[in-house]
Amino acid sequence: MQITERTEETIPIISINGDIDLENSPKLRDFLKTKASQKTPRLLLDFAGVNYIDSSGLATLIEYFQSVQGSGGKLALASLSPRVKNVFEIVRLEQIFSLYPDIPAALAALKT
Amino acid sequence: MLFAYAQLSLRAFAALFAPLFGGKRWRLSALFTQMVNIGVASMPTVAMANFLLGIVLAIQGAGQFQKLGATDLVASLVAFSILREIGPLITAVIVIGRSGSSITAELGTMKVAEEIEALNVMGIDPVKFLVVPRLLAMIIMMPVLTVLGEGVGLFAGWLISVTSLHLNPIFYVTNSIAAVEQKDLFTGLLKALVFGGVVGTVGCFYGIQVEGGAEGVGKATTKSVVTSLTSMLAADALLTTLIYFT
Amino acid sequence: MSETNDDYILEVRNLCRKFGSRKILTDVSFKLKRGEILIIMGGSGCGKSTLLRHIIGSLKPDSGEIFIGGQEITKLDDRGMAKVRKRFGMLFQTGALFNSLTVGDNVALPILESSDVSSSIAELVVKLKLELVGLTGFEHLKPAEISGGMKKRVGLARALALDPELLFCDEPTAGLDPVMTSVIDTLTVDLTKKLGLSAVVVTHDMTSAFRIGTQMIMLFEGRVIAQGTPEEIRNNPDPILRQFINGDADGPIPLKLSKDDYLKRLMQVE
Ligand SMILES: Nc1ncnc2c1ncn2[C@@H]1O[C@H](COP(=O)(O)OP(=O)(O)OP(=O)(O)O)[C@@H](O)[C@H]1O
Ligand SMILES: [Mg+2]
Repeated sequence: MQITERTEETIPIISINGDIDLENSPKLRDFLKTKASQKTPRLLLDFAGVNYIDSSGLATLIEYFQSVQGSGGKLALASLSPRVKNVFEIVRLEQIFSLYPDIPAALAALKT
Repeated sequence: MLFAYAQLSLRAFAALFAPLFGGKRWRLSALFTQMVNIGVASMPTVAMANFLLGIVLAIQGAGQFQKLGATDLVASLVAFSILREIGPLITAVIVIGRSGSSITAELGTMKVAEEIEALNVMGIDPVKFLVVPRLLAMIIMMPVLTVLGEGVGLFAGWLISVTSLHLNPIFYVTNSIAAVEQKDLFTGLLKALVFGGVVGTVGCFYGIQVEGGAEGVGKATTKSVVTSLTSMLAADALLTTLIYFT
Repeated sequence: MSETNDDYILEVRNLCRKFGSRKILTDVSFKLKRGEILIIMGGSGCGKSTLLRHIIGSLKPDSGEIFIGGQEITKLDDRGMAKVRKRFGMLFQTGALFNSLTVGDNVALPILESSDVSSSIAELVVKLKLELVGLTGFEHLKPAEISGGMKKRVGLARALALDPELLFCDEPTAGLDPVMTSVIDTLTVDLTKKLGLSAVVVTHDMTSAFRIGTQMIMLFEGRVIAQGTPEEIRNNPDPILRQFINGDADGPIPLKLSKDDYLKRLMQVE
């Protein structure tokens, strides 16, 4: 799994490449923890390169969400494959996380 | 049977020492729980047994030595036998009855309830998960309990000698100290260490191989206690012989 | 590796097993495609749990082969088997929960033992899984403090803890009320449809079997006497199968033993 970061219109876009599984989710967790401690107000996670996410990956996202919720931080997820989206839906997380079909849509939503 | 026991013991000790060579670390919380189960809970019984035996030793020794007019020797008899033999032995007997049996019963119940199979299926090694914490706790707590027991036993010997046999309290202590060597103390502790290993492996072995429901658990527990006692005595005889000739 | 087609997550070939001189499984063969649910039916004591035990590698067959994801497992050593086991989850007939651990710790155990994830992540995963089986909020109870049906569901949550590709369930809905049965059935179907999970489910509950199964096999005295899609099974004229599905007391399933031999045996002097 690789994590790359770029900024577009002041919003950091994190592209994840590879599987988010038990082995890799600690890496994502460390990354998101630094983001949370820097009080990043808005964050866009680009899932285009993610084929698979397991429960530990979901838990990692939930933990980040919990930690920025208090300070009004916003999180958007973009370009989820149907299968990855299903993983969110099975545990009804699509109701909590904002899932967008692509990056422009997610950016637009984050800016409002 | 013996082969299976040897196999389990080897695997258990290999897993036990693995953390020293960069393996996954011990499960400290499980170890702590077992140390409390095995050790702390046995303390009162161990103390009482050693106390009573300290009294018995002193009185019987006094009976014999009085004929020789050498009651002073009571101190060295008590010190010597408690440190070398009685302390480790009686402590082990009590730990076998209390904790060796409960290890077998607990693991046996887990076996019967398919818990051990479930561990295997989850890819968790029951030897690492269940046997190692119990064995390690045994190996640590047996010497600890033995030292405690010996202390109480020595105190009991002193108490009865001073109060009932009219020996000089200070003289008794200096006599005791003069009588024992460091070797005596270490002999006892070495025995306790070995007993811990024997009782731990035997208890786990009989637990893990239980078949056939609650009845099987009962039978295995009995066998475990009997085997632990005989193996412990055999180890005692062996060690005593080895130490005597070295 | 073998010629097993990659579409099949599980294949059992000519499995035979005796306990002593009693034949428990005879020449059992079947295949399971990825993303499908295979139902194993059969009377009490016909060998269903024993069959599952062979597939999960707890028992070794006398002869025959078992392929999981194309890999033959009956001759694997402990280490090889441990690797294969990472890919599947198992719900035992009795639940097989660890009585000394809380419900939450039971579900967390496979996660914490098989990876380096932190305990706070494991805790969140536990919450997700318990919600799936309708047991949110029961984390802190011990197995002894919950009902039989709840234990089954905790067992299922634990089997799902590591997001397996292949799920084995030994009577997942035995002891559950009709509503909970339906919840578990829907969950099983959702997992297969949405996540591509494959499942082998042993069940006596014909409603639930026909509701979730995509393939079914019927075991009788350790043999497969019928297999096919639910449709094929429904239309199969085999009298034993018919009797089993309809739950008739009369039929070829040998209760007849009790009619003829029972009195004779009873009166026999040993
Ligand atoms: N370890 C064993 N040793 C000897 N016989 C066994 C053993 N395990 C199971 N059996 C026998 O194998 C047969 C099949 O048992 P199994 O548990 O597989 O039945 P089942 O189909 O799962 O029944 P149920 O629906 O009641 O759970 C039974 O007759 C049982 O007595
Ligand atoms: Mg069964």
